[in-house]
Amino acid sequence: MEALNFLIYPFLGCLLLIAIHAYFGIHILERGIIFLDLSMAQFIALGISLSFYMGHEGSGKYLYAIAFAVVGAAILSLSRQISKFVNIEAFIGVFYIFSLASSILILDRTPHGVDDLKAILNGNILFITQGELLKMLVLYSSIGLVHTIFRKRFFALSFEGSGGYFWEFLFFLSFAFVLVSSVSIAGVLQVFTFLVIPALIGRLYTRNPFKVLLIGWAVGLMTTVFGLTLSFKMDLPTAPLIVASLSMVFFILLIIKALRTR
Amino acid sequence: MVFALCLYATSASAKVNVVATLPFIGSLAKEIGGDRIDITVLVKPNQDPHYVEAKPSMILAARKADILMYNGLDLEIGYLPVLIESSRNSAIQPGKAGNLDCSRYVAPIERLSSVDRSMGDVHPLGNPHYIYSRKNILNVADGMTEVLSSVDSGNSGFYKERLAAFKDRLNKRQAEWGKKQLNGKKFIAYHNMFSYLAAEFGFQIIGFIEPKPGIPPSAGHIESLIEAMKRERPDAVIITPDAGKNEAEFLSQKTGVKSILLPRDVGSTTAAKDWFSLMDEIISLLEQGG
Repeated sequence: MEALNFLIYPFLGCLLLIAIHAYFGIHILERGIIFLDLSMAQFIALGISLSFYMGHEGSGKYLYAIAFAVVGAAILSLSRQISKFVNIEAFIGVFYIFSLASSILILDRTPHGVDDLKAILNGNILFITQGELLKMLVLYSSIGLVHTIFRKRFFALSFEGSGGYFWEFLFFLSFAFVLVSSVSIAGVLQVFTFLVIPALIGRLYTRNPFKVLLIGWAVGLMTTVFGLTLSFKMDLPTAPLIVASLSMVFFILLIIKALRTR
Repeated sequence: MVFALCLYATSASAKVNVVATLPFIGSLAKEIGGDRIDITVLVKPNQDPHYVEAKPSMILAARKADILMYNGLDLEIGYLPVLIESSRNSAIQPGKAGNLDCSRYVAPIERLSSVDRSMGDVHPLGNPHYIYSRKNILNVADGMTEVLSSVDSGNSGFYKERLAAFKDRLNKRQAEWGKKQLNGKKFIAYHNMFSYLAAEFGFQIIGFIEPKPGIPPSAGHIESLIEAMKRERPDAVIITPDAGKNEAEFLSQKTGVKSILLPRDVGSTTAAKDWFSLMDEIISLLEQGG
């Protein structure tokens, strides 16, 4: 009874995270830009480092985060153009290390250590509060709504590569806003997991995006319930256990799939 | 609601539930509370105190806590505010008797004014590592006794007796520690952790390997550190189990200055069983080294 009482917020948090990330995961996998989230999160963290440097800590840092989310989205919206010249995944990797290195350099000139930055990138789902849940609900459902209404345009972008810069920018911007919130709440490890694994599992069975989403949601949810329960029973760190469980499920399903198709 | 009632009903007879963030705080609470309290410590002895890997038991412990005792001075800023909030335990919320920021009883050194902040310090409220300061620890023990007595007034006589015994023991140890020859020694440290100890024992920390936690030192900083070491011949480089081993080895090869590995908290080494033996260990290692 007590377990239920205190795991309910982390559970609801995971539910919301899986709902939105499995969806974005389908786009990300189709576009072949898996590490987009790490790269984008680090770029936003660079913005927050800059807010420390400028002395705009406190609520000012959110303005920097939003500004960098917009700039990051604008740059990454050019990914189709960039991919004509270089491997896009490599570009995203360089974007990541550039952001990380610059953050460290900027932080060196501030009163802060890297600790402050790590705290931003290592949110923890176990510590989620009611207020954060509500904010997530509002943000994710508005973004989800926009993506549902214009689903044909967004899927045309990822699956056919057609659409133009404005829609491309809107896609990356909405993804960046999701990341700003999810990374600070659940940390990069868990966000990457929810982004990639449910969609990967769905793609083992079908290429229809809607079915991939349903399978991803179902498997993601069941595994998360399992991970949360086990984390409570065995008193193991929650996020790594959910990540390991979901990865294991993926490996097992992959092996079964491979044996069947042989 | 049901949970709160249960807690109320049992609190008259059961032990006081104390949650301490750091091992030394748990150790001090044990000195005062003895068998009348149950202690849960959140951070492991050789873990960076800025972080914890969140486990369900931590929130469970915080939910049941009558008193939460922590270091303060922003040391636990990375996880404690969210832990307190997500515990939904009214007894340990800020401002309540069960929220014991031990630094309330400490006179912090290296406190910075807003002008100095641009000079770059990660802890504007003052150096948080008062764990090694016998003067401040004495005041913290006073504060713990006060809070324990107010939360569990039935046992306040017991707590006051234990405090008196603790002070007695501390005074005797202090006489012994006073004989150690640390006066005038010079050390290099990895982080700025031992300033309280240096001030109280009359030794000097002449430089730091990594002035800002987590940010690698610049090439120029290491070069000037090596020069300073060659010039001033410090007795040793002080490191702790969580950081600094490779850097100290590098400096030792360049300058011939040895390194001393100090326990950072109670439980860091098998010898450091409680706060007293932690201090014994640190002081005798510093005396031997160099």
